[in-house]
Amino acid sequence: MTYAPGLQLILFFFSLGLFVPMLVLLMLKATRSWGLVLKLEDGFVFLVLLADSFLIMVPRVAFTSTWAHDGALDYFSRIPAGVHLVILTLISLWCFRGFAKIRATRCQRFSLRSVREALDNLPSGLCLAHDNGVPVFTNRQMYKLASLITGRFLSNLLVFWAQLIDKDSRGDVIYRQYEGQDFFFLPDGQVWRFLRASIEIEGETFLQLVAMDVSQLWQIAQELRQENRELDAQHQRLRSLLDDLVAMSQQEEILASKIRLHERLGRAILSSKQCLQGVCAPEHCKKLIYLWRDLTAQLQANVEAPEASDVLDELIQVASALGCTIRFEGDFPHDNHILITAVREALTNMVRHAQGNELTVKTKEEADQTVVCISDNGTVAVDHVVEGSGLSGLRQSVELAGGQMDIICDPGVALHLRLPKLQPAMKGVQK
Amino acid sequence: MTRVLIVDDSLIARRILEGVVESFPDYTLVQSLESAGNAVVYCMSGQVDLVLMDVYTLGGESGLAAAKKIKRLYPHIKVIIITSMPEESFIRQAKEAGCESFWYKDAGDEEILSVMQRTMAGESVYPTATPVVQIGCAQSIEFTPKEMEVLRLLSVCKNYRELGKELGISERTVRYHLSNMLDKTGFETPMQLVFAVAQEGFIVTFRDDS
Repeated sequence: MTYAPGLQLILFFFSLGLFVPMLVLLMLKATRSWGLVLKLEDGFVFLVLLADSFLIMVPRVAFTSTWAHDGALDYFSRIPAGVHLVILTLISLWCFRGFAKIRATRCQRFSLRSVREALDNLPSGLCLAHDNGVPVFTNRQMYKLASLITGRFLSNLLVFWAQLIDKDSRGDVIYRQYEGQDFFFLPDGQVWRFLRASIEIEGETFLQLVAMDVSQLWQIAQELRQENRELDAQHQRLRSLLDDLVAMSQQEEILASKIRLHERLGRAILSSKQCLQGVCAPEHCKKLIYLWRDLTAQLQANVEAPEASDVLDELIQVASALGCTIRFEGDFPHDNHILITAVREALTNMVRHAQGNELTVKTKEEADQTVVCISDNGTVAVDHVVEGSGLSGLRQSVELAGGQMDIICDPGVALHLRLPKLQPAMKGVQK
Repeated sequence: MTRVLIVDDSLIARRILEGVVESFPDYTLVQSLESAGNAVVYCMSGQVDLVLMDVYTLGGESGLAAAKKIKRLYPHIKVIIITSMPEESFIRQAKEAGCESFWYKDAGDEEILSVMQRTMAGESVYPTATPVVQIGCAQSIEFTPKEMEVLRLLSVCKNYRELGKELGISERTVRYHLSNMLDKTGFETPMQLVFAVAQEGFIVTFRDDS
């Protein structure tokens, strides 16, 4: 059976057309391009295509050659056109699958263009330049930032950085450094952190500038700082409350003492009455005398608590009892426990080691700190001081409070202290 | 003649002790101070044989810390710690500081004069136990040693994480101890517990504790 010449022609050209992509695929697979590998099935498909093409051509050859009466050829020409069509369709699907794989592989492969595209789409700004500042690569975000901050095009990285940190060039944008890092605060609320680095690629040095949007992080950090400040304040308030509670307990103690005194007085009066009436034994009356003497001594005390004493005033009295004087120049803070401890240490060291009898305490108030210098009139020359437990304890307290302590030996020993000014809630408890 | 230094920030307590000292010929009062730190300086004068030291003095200074210094620098000076606060660790701290004796103002079985005389005779006079106080629905002796440690650190406003780190226990264990104490005392919050023990003087914190 033969089929129409037109259909035969279509099939013929279809099969011929498939040879081109088939051969291309086989070549790519043979050279292992695009991750393709030549397999046995590929050869089989090629042979099928060859065979089918031949069989399609058989009826035409049969008409035009002397083999017209060959039984085998006659048999082949009876293969229906539909069979050829199916075979060719399957082969074309196979080719299509092969090319689809190539396309998929191509999409996953890096190329210079894809790298550039990826960097351009980064939310962070990036600029790579030679060490003379001439850019090698600048991404879209960095160009945008350059225009936003300086109003100029980024043509040289070094010039750009100079413009960034120059107040006049960056307009309303604020520049700050925190912990060695550079931050830029834009008028619209954005916060950008810039990182500068020098990198080496194949023996050549390049400058790198990266800009990161840290607006959200900055906002969170600010909120955390504020919460920490509030927590610190709460902590101080709680400490004050606890200190007040202790003070209240002591007032209760005083009240309890008064009540006991009152009770003892009552008992003494009752016992005295019995003694006078001759009801008690003489030994008891003798004890009563001691009791009255004791009670009289207590009653002579001023039972109303006076104004709270001052630790420093008492220290001056103690110094006087030791034959020493403490002279103050400037406004010494009476409620700063650390400074009072420093005066005590200086007094102790003067009496023990320096053979002096006059301590001079000079106080100078600066904007955010108090500076105190304590020296004595001791006659012993010292070139080096070994800090004992008193001085080292003092140093620890000073440093914990954020201050600084220096011991100067010239020739006597002087203590120099710098302390941040106390907040009201942190001042020493006064009774 | 025993030369006595009195250190107490309460005027009434000082007057009472001064009266006791002056009423007996074996003792003479050399100085009466309010601050424990200043007392250490005064001892340099060499005129002190016996110190009657209050635990909590002017400016929140610790009498126990001052007593420890005095015993280290001037071992010949005898120290009697005096307090009315039933703080559970004071007796232990006084012994560790090397103090000869300890006297409770309110709960002691002995008068101060007797304690002074026994101390100068070479005895060490300490109460057998701290006074028991009521903390909410519980008594102070119901707290375990670990619970006391937790309560003490809470009183200096340490948070649970810092507490656990300092005691070498987990935060969960801290909460467990706290929960037990709240159950015992009937308080609803840790702050109520802390305020109650501070008010009773059961736990006392000094300036340098936080």
